[in-house]
Amino acid sequence: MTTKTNSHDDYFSTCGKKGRPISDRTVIDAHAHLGLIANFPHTDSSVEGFVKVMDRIGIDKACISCTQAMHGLHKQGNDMILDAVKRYPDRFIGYMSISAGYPEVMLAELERCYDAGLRAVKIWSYGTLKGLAYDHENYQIAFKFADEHELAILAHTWGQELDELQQAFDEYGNIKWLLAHTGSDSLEKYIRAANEYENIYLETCLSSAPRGLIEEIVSAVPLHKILWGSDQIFMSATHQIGRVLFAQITSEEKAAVVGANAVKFFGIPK
Amino acid sequence: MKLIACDALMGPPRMPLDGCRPDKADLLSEMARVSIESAIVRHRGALEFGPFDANKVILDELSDADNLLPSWFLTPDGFEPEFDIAKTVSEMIDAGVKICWTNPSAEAACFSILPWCSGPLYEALQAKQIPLLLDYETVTADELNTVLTDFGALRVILINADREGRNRRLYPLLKAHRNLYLCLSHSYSVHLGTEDLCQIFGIDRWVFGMGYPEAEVGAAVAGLMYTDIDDEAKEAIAYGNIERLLGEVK
Repeated sequence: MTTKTNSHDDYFSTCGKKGRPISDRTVIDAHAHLGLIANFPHTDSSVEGFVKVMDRIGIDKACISCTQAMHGLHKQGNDMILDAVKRYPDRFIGYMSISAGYPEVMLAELERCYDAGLRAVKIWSYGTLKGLAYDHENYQIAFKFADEHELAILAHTWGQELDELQQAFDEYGNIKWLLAHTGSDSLEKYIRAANEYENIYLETCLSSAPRGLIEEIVSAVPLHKILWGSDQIFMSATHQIGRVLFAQITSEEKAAVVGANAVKFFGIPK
Repeated sequence: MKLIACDALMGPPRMPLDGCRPDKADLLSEMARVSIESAIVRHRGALEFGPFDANKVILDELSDADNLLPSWFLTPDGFEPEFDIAKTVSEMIDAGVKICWTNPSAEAACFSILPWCSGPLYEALQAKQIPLLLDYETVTADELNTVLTDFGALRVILINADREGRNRRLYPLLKAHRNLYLCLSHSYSVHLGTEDLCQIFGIDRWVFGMGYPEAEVGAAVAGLMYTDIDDEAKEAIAYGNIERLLGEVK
């Protein structure tokens, strides 16, 4: 673990200690969700509740995908994202999501979402649930589509998925990969991938909030490759932002991680 | 805002933690970094070599730190030579310790949390109004329901409660048992979760946790400070509720 500076009194930690919105810097949540999962009931699943939390923290924009779209209801799920983006165009950036088990409708759904304005893809390999690993042929449809259109892909990962994605990393050079949950397992794989591939970036959200992890990532990969994400509404963004606000890194590094890097990654106009 | 963390765990594990040595100096340094004023401290030795020595060690190590409050690890059989839990609890109070913890798992103290085995412990604790810290992972909802049904005056603080959304087991437990408390740290990372708890159950049953030593303690601090509740509720969680509980120990 590196300790570059003590964060006692910088702008970010002061915001965290006081519960003040981070209004003087750009904050982009690169990994967030709307939607439902059966074993994870929400207190408030509304878009309005989501925006309220964004306002309290000072999150300028959140990049959202919908869980239903990854659980078989692709159209309904992606429509939920399109609707949120339409209602709050300045606050949300939408990911189009795929249900990997339904290759017959995947391309048409991706094209529909692309035509509706979405410019990034979310993939999920189901974690501990029954699903398809990323090296299954079904994902090739989404990878080819994203490569042809030079889109970003946010991939749920938990260490071993980086092995499953290895061939895609080599094959699809036009995709900007954003690997979720960096350090959840096998941190060295994430660090190696981000250092070896120009088009691989790392996203930070992790419910266990491991001590020293943000510092370790910042010390090990180029700073512009690290993007903050919250995983809300399946985690509380309030905790995830605290991991960066109080991290023992410089203020400039915090500014890059919480938003400046995402502005460049997603091509967000200033 | 004053912060009292209720879940610190110091002492070296069998194998070193990556990047830190969880001793008193490290704990105090982490607290200072995020402006946590005080902490209730458990000693990991209770899980390694047992509570008898660990409780002595924690008293010794914290004797010169007024802002670190020791917590004893108790088992239902008490300690040698008497093996009388009521006597052990009296010794604990005499030593100035007002809060305790336990872990019934086979890897730790290896006993049943249910009343047939742990009843004498609960009787001794509820008679003195001593809060008991219990790790969410070491007790099932059914077990907790049985314990709190049989010992309605027992004050249990659940620590390390996981993020399971609007928890379908925890909420009914909180509704049924008014002496069940929840420690809110980075682990209870529920979208609008603290707001919901306060709205449904009031503000008196939540205490603050920092997740030391494994977690970035700033996660818990920001988690509380960005919660959409008024200052009275925030202060109750930050320090007021745990101060009240400790003040009511007989």
